[in-house]
Amino acid sequence: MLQKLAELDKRWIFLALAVVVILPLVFPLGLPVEPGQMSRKFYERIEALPEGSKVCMSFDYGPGTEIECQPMASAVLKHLFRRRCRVVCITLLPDGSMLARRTLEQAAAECKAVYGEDCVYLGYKNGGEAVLRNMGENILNVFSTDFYGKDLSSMPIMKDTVNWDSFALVIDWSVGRPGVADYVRIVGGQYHRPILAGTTAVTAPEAYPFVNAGQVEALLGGLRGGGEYEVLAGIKGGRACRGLEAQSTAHFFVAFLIILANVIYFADKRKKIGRGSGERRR
Amino acid sequence: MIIQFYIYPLDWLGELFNSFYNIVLTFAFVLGAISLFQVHGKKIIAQTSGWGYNLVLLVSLTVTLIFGLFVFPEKGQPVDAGTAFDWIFNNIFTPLCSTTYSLLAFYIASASFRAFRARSAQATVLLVTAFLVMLFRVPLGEYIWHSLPWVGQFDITAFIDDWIMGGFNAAGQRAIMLGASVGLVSISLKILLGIEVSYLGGND
Repeated sequence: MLQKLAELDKRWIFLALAVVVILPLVFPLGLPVEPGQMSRKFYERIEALPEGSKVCMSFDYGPGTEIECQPMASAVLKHLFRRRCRVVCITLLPDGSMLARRTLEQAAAECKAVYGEDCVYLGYKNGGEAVLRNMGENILNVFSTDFYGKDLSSMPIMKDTVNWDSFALVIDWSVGRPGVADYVRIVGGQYHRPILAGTTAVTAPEAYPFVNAGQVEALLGGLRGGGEYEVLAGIKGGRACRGLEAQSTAHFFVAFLIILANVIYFADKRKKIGRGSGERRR
Repeated sequence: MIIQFYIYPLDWLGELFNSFYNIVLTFAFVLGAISLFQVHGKKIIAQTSGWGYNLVLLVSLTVTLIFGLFVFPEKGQPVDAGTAFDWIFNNIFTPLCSTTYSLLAFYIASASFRAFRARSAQATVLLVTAFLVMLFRVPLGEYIWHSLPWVGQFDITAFIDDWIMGGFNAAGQRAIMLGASVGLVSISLKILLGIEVSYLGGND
């Protein structure tokens, strides 16, 4: 029996995983999502911003990781608009340019934020760290028009936006390079701006040293971070909360596989030891 | 670039080189596209094995480029909602990227069954840590944990955040980061002093 399981065709595992992921999406379990310390810290940092504060938000993720980063970006954007903060969005990844546009347009429409006054999207600029460095001198030298090709100098939101000093807070959603490390080095290190970040669950461990050192004030990690923020921001039926149930069952399934594999491994090992001692006795 | 970082009056130097960097990078995009056509074009002409994939790549690149550069409404941009480029991005590129990323979950499940064994003390520590993080950082795990008598009162999420992620993990990550940075400084110095020349091409 165990031997048969050990030789199980991996396609059965793929099929079982697909079922385990799809079921909670079709039949929600209604599990409670309890916000953790880090998400609370993130939320409180935004709550503490005075009305009218200017925030720079960078969307450094692509379509592959959108499912993890977009829910948190959307929830935080809505929270910022509700707090009457003004948001300047950019992206350092070419893949992220269309995703950022979609997220900003949806959040702005829902919160009735006026484009050009409450928010603006500057689009993508290549160069990663070099772009951040140049933005420290003069943002209009780096971005002369917005994503849609409109002149930035005529927009009310850009009137007093000169460089990094114009922002009360910088938020980066990223999955690697360019990402949190670049912001810590340039925006935090050279221009002393407070940074908040959100990453995929896989890249979150890499950002923890920055959090411990205080270089990143708070971090949202993966779908869980997004789900917790949706709860804190009072967003009902959010994308992250729905996805978290599927992620829960998938994690439990993988844990079950690991246990099963180890049971087979130790049973096999025991059998071999028994056989070896039997042969020695003979 | 290094000098301007420490000597503020030379800040203009950093700005200037940054501009050079951006210009070079822009040309790198063009060079990249030319190189793609050269490499894959050769394979298509020679009809090497799998040349169909090379053809798909070049056709996709050309079509996206054409729609991105030339096909959009008169008073709009190619990136506006509802354009052909927007359609390609939303309906082809995004699902393809999501599919590729999602495949990881299936391979992780399969690999965990095939390879994740408690063969040694170190592997057991890794296994237990992975178990804790995987099970109790999701709502289902938290729900089950808090339903347990006695131990359920202990805040497992705070333990994972503060001790495992913020403690052991952060220490390990910091060590990797410092090691990589020292390596980067050393290789940069070798390049600046002319000891390391392999980047110029040639055999060594």
